[in-house]
Amino acid sequence: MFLAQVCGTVVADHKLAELQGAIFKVVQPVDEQGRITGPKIVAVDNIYSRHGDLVYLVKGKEAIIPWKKTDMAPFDAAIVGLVDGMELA
Amino acid sequence: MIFSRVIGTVWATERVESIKQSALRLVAPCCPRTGERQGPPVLAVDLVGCRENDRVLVVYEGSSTRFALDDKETPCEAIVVGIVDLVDMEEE
Repeated sequence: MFLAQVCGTVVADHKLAELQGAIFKVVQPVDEQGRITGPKIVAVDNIYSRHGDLVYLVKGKEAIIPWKKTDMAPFDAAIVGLVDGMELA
Repeated sequence: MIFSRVIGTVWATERVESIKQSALRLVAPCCPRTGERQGPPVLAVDLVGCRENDRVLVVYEGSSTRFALDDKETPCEAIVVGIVDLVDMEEE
């Protein structure tokens, strides 16, 4: 799981049937200081995050676990948490 | 497993059901000998009660994390499995 900043929304009406109802958000992976750590990716949003929110995502097969609409769905990144606060060493 | 250092703690009340109860640590992969950071930080569920600046072992693989958390509903892919006491390595 890694930190990311929500920086946009993607709407795609014409998509695979299993992805019906998915909310796509554009997220920018960042580190704890907010520095960019990788290219922007599109992830399925499970927690209705808003623009500019600091969230964290899960990648890979585990991204599908919170997805309750169909038992299997073809996506590999999902927003699973909204960061309220961080305490750094 | 990735040799990492705990660099912080993350609070997130608004998150997917299943990982609500566990502590989320921010860990940064680092070199076992020099301790110098080697990559972006990762969030890992803490199962061993580590603290700030601890050197830890982190498992990144999904199915072993679900096995360790014993919860099939957990969308988690990184857990802290051990706190490092000693590293003994030859010079390269």
